[in-house]
Formats: sequence, structure tokens, C-alpha cells
Amino acid sequence: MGFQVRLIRSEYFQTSSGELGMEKQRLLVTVAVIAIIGISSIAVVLFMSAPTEKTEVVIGALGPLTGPASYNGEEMLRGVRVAEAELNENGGVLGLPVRVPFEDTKSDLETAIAIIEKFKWDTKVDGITGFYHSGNILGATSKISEYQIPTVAPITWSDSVTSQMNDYIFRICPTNTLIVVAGSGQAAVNMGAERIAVMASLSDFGQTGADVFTQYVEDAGLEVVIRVDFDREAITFYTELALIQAENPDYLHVHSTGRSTMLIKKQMAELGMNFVMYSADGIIGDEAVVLDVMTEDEVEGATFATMYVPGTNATTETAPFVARYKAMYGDREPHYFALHMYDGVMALADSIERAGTTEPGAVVTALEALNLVGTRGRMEFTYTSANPPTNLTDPLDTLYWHQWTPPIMFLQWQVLGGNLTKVLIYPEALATGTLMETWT
Amino acid sequence: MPYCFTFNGILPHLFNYRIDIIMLQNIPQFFTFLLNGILIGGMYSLFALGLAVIYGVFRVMNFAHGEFYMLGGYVAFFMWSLFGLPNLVGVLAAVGAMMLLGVVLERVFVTPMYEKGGEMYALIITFALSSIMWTSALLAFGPFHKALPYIFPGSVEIMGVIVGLDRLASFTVAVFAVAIFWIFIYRTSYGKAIRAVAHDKDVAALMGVNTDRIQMMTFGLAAGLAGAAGVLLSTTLILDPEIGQILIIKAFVVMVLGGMGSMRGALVGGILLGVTEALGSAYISTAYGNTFGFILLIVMLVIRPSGIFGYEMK
Repeated sequence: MGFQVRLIRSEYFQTSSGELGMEKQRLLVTVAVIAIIGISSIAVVLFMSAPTEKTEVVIGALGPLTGPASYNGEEMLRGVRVAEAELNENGGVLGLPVRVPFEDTKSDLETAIAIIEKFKWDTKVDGITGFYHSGNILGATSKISEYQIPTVAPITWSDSVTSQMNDYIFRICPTNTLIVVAGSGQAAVNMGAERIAVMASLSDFGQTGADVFTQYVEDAGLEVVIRVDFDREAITFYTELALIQAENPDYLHVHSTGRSTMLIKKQMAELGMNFVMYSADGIIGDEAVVLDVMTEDEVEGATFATMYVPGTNATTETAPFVARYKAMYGDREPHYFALHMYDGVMALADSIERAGTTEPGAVVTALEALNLVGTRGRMEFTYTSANPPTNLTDPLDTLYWHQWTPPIMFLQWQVLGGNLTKVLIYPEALATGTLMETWT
Repeated sequence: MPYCFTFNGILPHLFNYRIDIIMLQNIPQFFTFLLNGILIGGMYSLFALGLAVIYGVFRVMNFAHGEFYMLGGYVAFFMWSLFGLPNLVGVLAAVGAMMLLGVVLERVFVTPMYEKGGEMYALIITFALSSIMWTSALLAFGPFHKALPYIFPGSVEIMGVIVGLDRLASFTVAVFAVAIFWIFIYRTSYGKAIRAVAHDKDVAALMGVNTDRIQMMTFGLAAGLAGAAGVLLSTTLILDPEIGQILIIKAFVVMVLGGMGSMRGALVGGILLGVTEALGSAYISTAYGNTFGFILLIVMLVIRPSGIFGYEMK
């Protein structure tokens, strides 16, 4: 205290009575604090901006580890862990070890954007994969562009993710339009459904997917008799299903994700609604999951699209991935989310290796030239800067910008010979059965 | 085609449905929505009852109530999946386990905080416990969804409405639970002691009531109730570590509607909430199902802040 008094005692600060002016003391302290903060901030920025020698390649991953899609997030995490382990066993990338930190978006846009900030300033990633919710990647697009982070989206289905033609974003999964065309829309048209009902969660995925499906079937001359939207946190659907039941539909398309699709099917069975129900969320195709929630009778009739059927090997990379996944996790077959994320990490790793650097522009150029066998097919992009879309005003053309679409399969749960079985309906060349329209 | 009604479309559609009901054209459908709303409300009541009991004695909202529900469900799930025990045994195990957990948490955290800083401190500690419990459950059990096998498989038709037997059972249990609790609180000496502690803890202590034991048993009892609800409702609803976080919001609304600390209020408030959500969804918009309950909450706070039955533990 004595030292402080000596430091600030001067004629300037003394009042006419000889005492130190309190207001002037406060002013000096305030200026000193601001100066310290300012100097520290400049030092931090300089430190963070200073080029440092790379000791690792970092590929950031993000997805919903909590929230209504937490199961899917867990599969995403497993997929990147398999990729990370494999890359490091094989010497890493650019001779450096690979690290894939996985952050939880909590299914929330603000959290996803905060993660991008963290990836840029704290983790200093060389690329990003994941997201899961289309709304998250669409909301983060400006940040991705601003920070020039090569991004591979393995699970986000909104057409806009690629039709916006962002330089840094690439996609290796189906789009809403393509999944509808190849899956539920095709099934409804082939079945000749006469009264179609649509349910959609109030989410970017639910709304855009349901809109695409409705447009597709109506263009094909079919009638959508009712559309019901619901909160994606909802856990009871009796009112919604009663509204649908009153319209006497013969086909129900549900565009939602997470627990709601299983609850809808379960509650449909309780109400005796035994007609085709399509779930856009592939979770209903995971036997290990659905049978923890529903009985075989309740699952029967549910249809879904998938990019991976256990026991089928789309490429030479599929079986080794599955073997490694089971060695690490042992408990179940991988869901296609795990395969997608694995391919996302591998696509980035391959591109960084071919670029010979982690400089974003070079990595993007290498990504555009991607020609890599993944677990679901050979990944290469339809339109790139060297081969742009022919019609920039047509979203169904720009959709294919930085887009690779894996093969899509459409399956239905059926009870055959007393056993619950996944029956492949489309593509017809691979079909193991036909669509069951109703059952008792 | 009936569709997600926008605000601009509400009045014409309401008018149309009102005409339909007046003309008796849609009475059966109205009854369907009403019955579903009552049954869903019963689920809410079953969940909220324990919360009402705790508030009645402690005057504290127990944020961890949803986690007792969730953990109770998991206790029964593991009893069934690991040992093949039926759900009715699972209910007993869940009640016992959650009562024990409730007693421990009350002794170690809630009451010490309550004595230190009053209701606010106790509220904060229950919030912290809630976060710790569901995060721990997420780490321990993973995010994978579960459900319990039906206690009463099958459905029944009630005046043209198909209802699952388990849903009907959970509603029946909710009604009986409220009745039994009401008798216990108002017709037994132990219940009298609980009311005395709820009314004035210090005076009750002076009158020879063991207030510590009353608080401990009340908290444990409420936790046990939540655990039982976790078993009964997890046959119809999904069980995962976060389910309690969704239901606790409903429970708070139920409590405000029915009256804080009121058991009858938990039943009536739950049914009122369920019916409001069902009819609002059916006749205005399914997209805003949850919103109608909150609108009702605001209306209740404005016209009758004490809720339908007010504070009953006196």
C-alpha cells in the first residue's frame, strides 16, 4: 500500500488540501488496466499468428454427441476414431501423426459455429469433417469461407450444402433430392400409392426433405392427403397419428431424425396403423438399436434408405473398415454414419498428402481432384472449378458441385418365416424381395 | 389438404372445425383427440407427482427429478436385460434404488444447502445434481435408446379409439397414486407430520417431530415415485439419458397449472396440459404442440398464479 501511494503521489494528483484526488486515481488505474489488457491482447494475437513448425496434421470433426441425434453422433465418433487409428498405424499424413479431435455440437447451430472458431484459433485444424445437421453447416458456411478451412461433409443432406457452390465445402453423401428420388419417392411411385401422408420434424432436415418428397410425388401424379409437422423434441405422437389416420393413407413418409422416428413407428403399431412407413433417418435400419426400443411386430413394415447393408462389401475398403470397427468396439455392426465419417477423414487425409502441404488452397485443389476408393465407392466429384456446372441458375445442376453420391439402397423390415429380416427392395437389380404394402 | 396451419390460416380453420363439432360431424374425432390428451396428461401427472411432493415439503423445485425418472427406468431395463426379470419386479427395484439415492442426495447435498442458503441454494444444487446425473448416465449407458417390454401388451378399443393397455395402465396408476398419497398426507399421523414440517419446520421440531427424518423420507419417497414412473412410462416412451430433461419441463408446467405442492393439482394439471396440447395440435397446428402448454401456463400465471388448487401442504 505504501509503495502504491509513493507511485501515484505527485503534484498532479494532489488536491488543494494535499490529499490525493480519488477520481484522478481511478482514472490512472483505469488507463493502466486498459493498457495492460491491450498489450496482452496484442501479444496473444501475435503469438497465435506466429508461424510454428507443424508437429501433427489435425482434422477437426464435429457432430451431435448429446441431444436428440446423440446415437448418430456416437457412430460418427467411432468412424473417425477408426480412421485416426488406421492413419497413424500407416505413418500418418505428410510423415506427421494425425489427430482428429471430435467436438459435440449438441445439435445446436451456435455451438457448431463456436466449434469452428475453436478449430480455427485454438485447435488450428487443417480440415473439417462432420456436422450431421444441414442447418449447422449452412449456418457455418461463412465462417468456413472466411477461415478457408477445407471441409468434407459426409452426412448433411440439404441440397443447399453443395448447390450454394462454396469453394471450401465438399460432400460425400446423398442429398435430400437424391435420397428421395432413389428411396421413398421411388417406392411410393412404384407402389402406386393413392393417399400419401407426410410427417416432418421442425428442422432443416425434416422440412426440406419433406418438401422435396412432396414435390417429387406430386410431380409424378400422386396425392399427398395430409402433411403434419412436429417438434423434433416431441415424444408422443398420438394426436399427429390420429390426424393422419383420419385421412386413411396407404403410405407414410416420415422425414425426421433421432428418437422421433422410432417413437412414431412404435406408436403407429400401437394404433394398428399397418401400412408402409418410410423413415428418412437410417437409424431405423439398425437392428441392434431398434430392437432395444421396439418389438419385432412394431418394427415390421418400416422402410428406410441406407448406404451400407451389413454383410455387403461395396469396395475393397469396406470389409477392413468393418473388421477394424468391430475390433475397436466389438458390440455391433457399424451404422453407415461411421462409414461416412471414416471416408470423410480419409478424403481429407488423402488430399493433404497429395497436396504435399496443409495450405488450404492446395488442399482444396487436391480435394477437387479426389479419386479415392472409400468404404462405399470410388469418391470423385462431379463438378469442380475445372469442370463447373453447365447451368448455374438451376439448383438441380449446381447440386452436383463438389458432390459425390454413394450408392443408395432401399430396404424394408419384414417378418419372413417368423424372423425379422431386412429385405432389399431397390435397386431392383439387387432386390431380395418386394415391398410389403400392408400386413396384419 | 389439411396442412401445418400458419397463423394466417388459424381463424378459418378454427371456424371450420367449430362448425363441424356443432354439426356433430367430427365428434368421434374430437373424442379421439380428447381421450389421447387425457391419457398423455396422465403420463405427465405420474411424472410430476413426486415433484409436487418435494415442493410441498421443501418449497424447492427439484431439477434432478427427471434424472430419478431416467435412472429408475434404467434400473428396470438392466433387471430385465441382464436377469430376465419382469417389469413389475423392475418397478420395485427402481423404487427401492431411487428412494435410497434420493435419501443420500437429500442428506449430503439438498438439506445442507437448504440450511446454508435457503431455497435458492437448494434449487441450485438440484440443478447441478441434474447435470451431473444425466451426464454420468450418458457416459455410463451411452446415447443408445432403450425401451422396456410392455407390462400389458396389446391395445383396447374405447368408443372407437384404440389405446395401448400400458398407456391406460399408467393413467390408472397416476390416478391411484394421487389418491393414495392424498389419503397418506391427510389421513395418517405421518402425513400430518409431513404437513407440519411443510408448514413450519421449526415449530414442528418444537412439537417433537423429527424434521430431519421427515425431510429425508419425503425426498426419498418422491424419488421413488419418479423411479416408478420411469419404469411405467418407458414401455411406451423411449428411455435414454436425456429423457428426464425433456419431461422436467412438462412437470414444471403441470405444477404451475395445478398448484405448487398440490397432489390433486399434479393430476388435474397434467390432464389439463395433455388435453391442451392435444386439442391445440389437432385444431390449430401440430408444429407448435409444446407451445400451447406454455400459453396456458402464461394464462394461469396471469389469472390465478397459485394454480388450480394452490399450495396444499398445510
